[in-house]
Amino acid sequence: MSEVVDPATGRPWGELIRIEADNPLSFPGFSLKILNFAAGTGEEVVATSTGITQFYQYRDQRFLLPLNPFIWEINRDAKGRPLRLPDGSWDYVAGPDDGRVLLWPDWKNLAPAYREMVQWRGDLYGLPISSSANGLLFRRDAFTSAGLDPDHPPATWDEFLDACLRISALSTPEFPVFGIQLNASVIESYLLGLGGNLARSETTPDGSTRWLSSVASSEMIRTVEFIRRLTLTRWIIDDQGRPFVVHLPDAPADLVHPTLGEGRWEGAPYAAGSRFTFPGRTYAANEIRTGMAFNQLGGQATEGNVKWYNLFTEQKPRIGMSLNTPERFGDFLAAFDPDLLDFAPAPAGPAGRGVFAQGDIAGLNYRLADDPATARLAWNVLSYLASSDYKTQIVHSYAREGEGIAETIAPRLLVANGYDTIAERVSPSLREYWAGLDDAVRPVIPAKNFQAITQQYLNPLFREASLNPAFDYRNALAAAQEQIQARLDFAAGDYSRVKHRGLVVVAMVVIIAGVLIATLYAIRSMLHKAAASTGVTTLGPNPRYQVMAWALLSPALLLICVFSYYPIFKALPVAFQDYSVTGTTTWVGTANFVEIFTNPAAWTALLKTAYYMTLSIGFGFFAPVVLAILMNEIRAFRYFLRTVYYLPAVIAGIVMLLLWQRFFEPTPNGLVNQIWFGCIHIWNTIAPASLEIARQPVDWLRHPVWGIPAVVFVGVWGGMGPGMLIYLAALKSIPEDLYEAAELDGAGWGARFYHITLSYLRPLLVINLIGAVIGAFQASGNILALAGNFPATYTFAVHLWFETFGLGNFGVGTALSWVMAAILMGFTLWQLRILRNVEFRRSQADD
Amino acid sequence: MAIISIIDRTNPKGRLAMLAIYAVLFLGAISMLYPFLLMLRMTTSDPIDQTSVSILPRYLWEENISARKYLLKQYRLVPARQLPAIYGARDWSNLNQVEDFYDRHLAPFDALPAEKLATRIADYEAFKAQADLLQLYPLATYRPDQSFEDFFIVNWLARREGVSPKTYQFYEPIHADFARRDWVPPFDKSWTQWQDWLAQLPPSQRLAASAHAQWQAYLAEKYRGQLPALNAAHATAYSDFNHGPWFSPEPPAQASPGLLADWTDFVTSRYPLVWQSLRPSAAETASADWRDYLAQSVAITTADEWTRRTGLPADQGYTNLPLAMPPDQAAARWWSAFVATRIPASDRVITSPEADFTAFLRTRHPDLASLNAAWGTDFATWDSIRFPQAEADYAVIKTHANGILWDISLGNYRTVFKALVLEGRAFSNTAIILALSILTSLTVNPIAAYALSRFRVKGTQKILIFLLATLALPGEVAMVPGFLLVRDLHLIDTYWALVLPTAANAFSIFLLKGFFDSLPQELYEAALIDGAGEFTLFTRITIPLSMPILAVTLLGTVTHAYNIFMPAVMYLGDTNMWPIATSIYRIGQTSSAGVGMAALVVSSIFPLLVFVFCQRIIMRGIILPSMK
Repeated sequence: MSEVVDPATGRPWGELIRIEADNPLSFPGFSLKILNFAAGTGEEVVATSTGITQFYQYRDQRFLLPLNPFIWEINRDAKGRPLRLPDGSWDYVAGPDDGRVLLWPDWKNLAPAYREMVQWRGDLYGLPISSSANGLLFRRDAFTSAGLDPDHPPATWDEFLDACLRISALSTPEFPVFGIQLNASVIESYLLGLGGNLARSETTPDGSTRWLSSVASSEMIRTVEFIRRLTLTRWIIDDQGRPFVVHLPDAPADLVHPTLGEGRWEGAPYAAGSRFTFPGRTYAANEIRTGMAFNQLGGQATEGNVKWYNLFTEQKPRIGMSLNTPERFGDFLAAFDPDLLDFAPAPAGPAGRGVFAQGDIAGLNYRLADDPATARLAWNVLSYLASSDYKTQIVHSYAREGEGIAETIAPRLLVANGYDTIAERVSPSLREYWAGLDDAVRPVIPAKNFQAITQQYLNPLFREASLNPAFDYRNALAAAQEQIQARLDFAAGDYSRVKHRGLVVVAMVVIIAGVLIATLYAIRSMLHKAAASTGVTTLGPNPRYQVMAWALLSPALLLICVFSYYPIFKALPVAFQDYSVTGTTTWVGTANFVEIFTNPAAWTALLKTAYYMTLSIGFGFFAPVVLAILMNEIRAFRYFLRTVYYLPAVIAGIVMLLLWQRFFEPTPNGLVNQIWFGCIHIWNTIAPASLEIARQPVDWLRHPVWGIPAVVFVGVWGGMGPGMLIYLAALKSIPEDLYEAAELDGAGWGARFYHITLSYLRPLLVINLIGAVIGAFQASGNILALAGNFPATYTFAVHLWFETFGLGNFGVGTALSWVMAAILMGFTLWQLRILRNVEFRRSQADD
Repeated sequence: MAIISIIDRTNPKGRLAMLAIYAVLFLGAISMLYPFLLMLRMTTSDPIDQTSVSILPRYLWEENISARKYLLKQYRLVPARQLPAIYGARDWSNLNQVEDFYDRHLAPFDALPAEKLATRIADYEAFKAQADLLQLYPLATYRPDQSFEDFFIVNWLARREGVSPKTYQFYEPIHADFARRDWVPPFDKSWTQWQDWLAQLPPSQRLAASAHAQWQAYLAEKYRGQLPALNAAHATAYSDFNHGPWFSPEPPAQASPGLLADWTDFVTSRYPLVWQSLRPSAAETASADWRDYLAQSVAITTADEWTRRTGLPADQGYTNLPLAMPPDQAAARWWSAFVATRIPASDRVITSPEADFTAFLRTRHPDLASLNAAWGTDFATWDSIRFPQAEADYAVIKTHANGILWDISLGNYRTVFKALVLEGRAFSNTAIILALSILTSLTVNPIAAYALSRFRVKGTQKILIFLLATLALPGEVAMVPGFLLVRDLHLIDTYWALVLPTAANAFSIFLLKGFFDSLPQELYEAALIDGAGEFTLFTRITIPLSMPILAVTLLGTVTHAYNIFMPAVMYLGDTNMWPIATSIYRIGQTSSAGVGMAALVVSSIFPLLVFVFCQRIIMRGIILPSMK
C-alpha cells in the first residue's frame, strides 16, 4: 500500500484518505453513519465491516459514488465529467470487453457472484475487499465417536441428517450433544440446494425489475419441513446403542425395527407422558429424545454464538457440526488442537450446492463527485484493496503467522505464492471446499431492505415451526409472503399495488383531519382561557418593564425555538417524502401513511404498547408511591434504605440496561434463570409429581408473554429511587396533627390514608400519571437496549425506531411520530390544563 | 410516622404491621443490593468465573479458583495447548474445564520437602537462563513491584525508546508456533525486537516449550487415545500415556518397528523445522540437489541472484545446503520445503528442549540416582524428565499468595484508572461539560423564570404552554434535522453542542417561576423604596431566598450532564473529547467483562457521593403541586 501516493502532492495516501469501517461504538442495529454522511464528514473510502447487507444499506441510502467511470472508459463532456445517455445508462466508449474499454483489469478476477452484487440498475457501487462463504465445520472426534468417518463428511443433506442423528445419539442426560448448530445459514444452504431462493426477480413491462418474494414456494415449504425434522424428530437408542427414529413431524416414519419389531405409540407422539412400545421393550417418556440440533433460530444473535462456541470447543464436543466460514475455522484452530477440526463443503441438494456470498464491500463517498482529484486518489486506494496484489499480500502475512490461519486460504493461492508445504497440509475436505466454491456461491438478494424485512417475518416463523409440532407452516408462509411482498414493493417505491388504496387514503384523511381539528380547537380554547385569567394579583402588566422582561426571556425562548421547535418543523414535511440524508429527496404524498395503516406490524405494535403501558403504569407508576408510603412509616434505618433504593439511579442508564441484559441471559447461567431454577426446585419438592415443572432455561426477554414484563421490571427497578424521593417529600409535608386529629375523631388507618394522604398527593399523582402515560408510550430506548427489535417486545415506539433506523424509511418514521403525537395529544393537553391550575410550593420535608 | 400512629404501634396489630413493613422494605432492599454486589464481584472476574452469579468473591478463600485465575494471566502469552501439556493432563484443554485444578495438580507438592522443591526450580531456572531463545515462550509471573501489563513487550519497547506505550497500541508481536512443522520466523525487525525482549527476560519469566507434548499429541491422535492400540503397535506395556513413550532426539535404539516408524513419521511430518538441522555429510551430498531445487522452484540460478533475493552471502546458503535454517524468511521457507521433502529423518539432527534440559542436568548431577535424591523423584530414565514448570507455578502461588489476591481484586481497577485518568481525559472532559452546563442552565432558566414571575409579561400562560409543549413530541424523528442544525451552526466537535440544546429546560422554568411567585412581594417593595435597582433585587433578594430550588435545579443539571451519552456519540467525533458515560460504554465493549464492570463502578462513585451528601437538599428542594 505504500506505493499509493497522491500524484498532486506526493504525500502518502494515509494522510489524505480515511478508511474507517465503523464508528468506535456499535449499537444494536443503529449506525451513526447516517449522521456522518448527512453532515458530509464521512470517510472517503467507505468500507463495511458487517457484510454485504450493510453495503446494500449504504447503497440504498445513496452514500456511495458510482464507480463506472473508473472501471470502464466513458465519454466525457467539456469539463471532464462522465456522460450519461438520455435513458440513464452510461455513455461507454466502444471497446473489446463486452463492448466496453476496461480500465481496471482486476475486474475480471472478481468472482461472478460479487460482480453481480455490486451493480444495481447499471451503476456499480463498490468492490469486494474480502470474500467468504460457508462450509461445513465439524469435529472429527465427534464423527469418530459416532461411528462416522471423519474423512468422508456428509456430502448430501440426507447424509447430513443421518450424521446429525448419530452425533446426537452420543448424548447423556447430563450432557446433551447436538449434531448441528442450527441457524439461518443451514436453512439458506438447504434452500439453495433445492434450487430455491428467498426471492426471484422479474422484469416489469416498463423495463424495471420487481423482486417477488418466494417464501411460500414449494422449496421453502420443504425447507421448513427439513428444519422441523432437525428439531422435532423423536428417536430412541435401541438395544445396540444406535439411534432409531420413532416419529417424524411431517411425514410418516417407519416404525419397524429390524430386531425389536414393530413399535407403536402410547399416547400422542408429542404429549408429555407418552411412551413408545416394542413387543418386549417399552421406552418411557424420558428415554425418548426430541431433535438433533442446537436450535438458535430466531433467538438472540450474538450471545447465542458465544454459547454455541463454548459447546463446540469443549474437550468432548457437545455440538458436532456448524455451517461457518473458513475464517472461523482459522479462529478455532488458533486456540485448539488442529487435528480435531476439519472443514468440508456444505452438503449438496438435488440442485447442487448453494451458499450465499459473504464478505465486505467498499465504495467511495458520494461527496467525492465534487472533488475529482481526491476521488482519483481514493479510487487508487480502493482499487488496491480490491486487487489481486493485495490478496497476495494477505496470503503472505497469513502464511507467516502460522497458527492454523494459513489453512484458511485457497490452496491454489498458497501454491501460487510458494507455500507448497502449507498447501500440502490442507485436508482433502478443505480442498474440495475451495475447488467447488465458485460454483456454489450465490449473490445476496439486492432488493432494498430485503434482509431486514424478510428476517423480521421469517425469524419468528422459523422459530415457531421448529418448536411447535402443530404449527401450520404452509399458511404462515403464505401470509408472510404476502406481507413481505407488500413491504418490498413499498421499499422499491412501487405504491400502486396496495389493496383498497383509495379507501385507506380516504379513511386516513378523515381521521387525521378529525384529530387535527379537535386538537386545534382544544389549544385555542385553552389559550383563550389563559388570556382570560391574568393571575392572582391585581397588578396588571407593567409596560415599563416589558422590554427588560423580554430581554431576560429571550435566551431561553431562543434556545427552545432553535433547538426544539426548528428541528421538529423541519422534520414535519418528511412524513410526505421519501427522505434521503444525502439530499435526493422525493415527494410521495400519502404513501407513507398508507404504508403505516396497511402494515399489520404497526397494529400489533399498538397492542403490545397497550400491554406495556398497562404493566408500566400499573407497577412502574405505583411502586414508588407505595414505597414512599412505607418509607414514611419507619424510623430506623431510613437513610440506609433510602440510599439503597436510590442506588440504581446512580449508575448511568444505558449501563444499567446492559447489566440487566446480562442478568436475563437465556442460558442456565443467567441470574434470573438461576433464580427461576431455585423456584422450580422449591415447587417440585412441595408439589405432587404430576405438576412438576421441567428445569428449562427461559429466554425471558424474547418470550411472547414474559418479554414485556421483564422489560417493565427493569424500568421499575431503575426508576424507584427518584420517584420515591419525590413522594416521600410530599408525604413529609403533610402535617402530623392532621393525622392525630383524625385519629382522635375515630378514623381508622384506612380512612386516614384515604382522606388525608391521598388527597394531599392527588395533584402530584395526576400530573405524574399523565407524564408516565406519555413516557410509556414513547419509550423505546430501554426496550431496544435490552431486547432489540424482537417480536415479543415490539411496541409502537420500537416500530418507529425500526422503520427509521433499521429500514432507513425516514418518511415512514416521521409519519409514525405524527400518529403518535395525535394519540398522545389528548393526554398532553390534559396535563397542560392541570399544570395551569396548580401552584407549586416548597416541600416541608425536614428529614 | 403518619398513617400508623404512635398509639397504634404499641398494640400487637400495629406492631405486626410495622414488622411486615420492615420485612417488605428489607426484602426489596436485598433485590436492589444484589445486582450491585454482583457488579462489585464481577469487577474481579475473568473467563474462569465470569458466568458465576454469586456475589461472594470465592477466589479469596478457594485456592482452586484463585490458582486458575492467576495462571490464566500468567500463561496469557503462551499457546493454549501448552498448558495441559505442562501439567500432564489429558482430560482438559483449558483452565475453565478443570474445577479441582489446585487439588489435583498443585496440592501434591505440599508433601514435597521444601529443599527438594527449591532444587527442582533452581535447576530449571539455571537451564532457562542459558537456553536457546528459539525454545522459549514468555511468561508473566507475579512480581510485587510490577503489574502484569508493565511486563509486556509493548511496554518494554516503549520504555526502551522513550516513547509512550500508545505508539505501540496496534503492535502485534510475533508468536512462535512450535506446533507446526513449517513455521518459519520472519527474521525482520519485529522478530529481532521479540528476540531481544526474550533475551532480557529473567529466567523466572521464561517457559521452555515441550517437544514431548507434541509427540504425545501425535500418538494420541494416531491411536485415537487408545492405549492398548499403542502398546500393540509399539510392543510395549505402558500403563498410562503420561508415562511413556518418551521422545528422543535420536532415532530410538532397540525399538520395535512400530515405534521407529512412528518416530520417523513424526519427525518428518510434524516436528518443527526450526529445531532441526542437518548432518554435515548429508548436507554436502545434497548441495547439488539444493541448487537444482532453487533453480526450478524459485528461479535462482546464480549466487548473485541468491544474494539479491535473500540478502545473505553466497557461502551462507547457496554454495552449500545450509545446515540450519538460514536467517532470512524467504530462504528459510525454501530451506524448509526442501528439507521436509528431500532429506530423510535419519540425516537430520534433532534438538529438543527436553533433551537440552537433560544434557544440562547431567552436568549438575553425576547420575540419575543423585538427581532423584536431590529432586525427590523416581525417574527411571534420563529421557523421562519433564520440565518442572508446575513446581515453579506452585512456588510462586505459595510465596506471593497475598499479592496475587490483591492483584486479582484490584487489577481491573488499575486498568480502568489508567485508561480513564492517566491516559484519557474522560474525567476532565466531564468536568468541563458540567461547568458549562451549570453556567448556562443556571443563567438562562432563572432569569427567564424571574422575568415571567416578577414582570408579569403579557401572555405569560401562552409562553409557558409554548415552552412546555416541547415535552410532548417524540425525539427520534427530529434527530437528523437536529444534527444538521448543529452542524450548520458549526457546533460539531465542541462541547456547546452537548450543552446548548438542553440548557433551557421548560419544566425547570415552570418550577422556578412557581417558586418565585411564592416569595413575598413586600420584600421587593421595601427594597425598591430603599432605592435598589432590578439587578440588586435579583441578586440580593431572589437568589438567596431561592437556594433550595436552585440547589435542586443544580442537582438535576449535574446529573443530566454527568450522564450525557447519545449526544456525545453523535456530535463529538474525536474520542479524546468523550465524557464519562461514553468512555465507560466503550471500555465495556472493547474490554473484558471485569474491566467493564470496574469502569462502571468507578463512574458511579461521583453520583453516589452526590446523593448521599445532598439527600437533604433534594428532599427539601422538591416542589410539590397543590390545587389553587
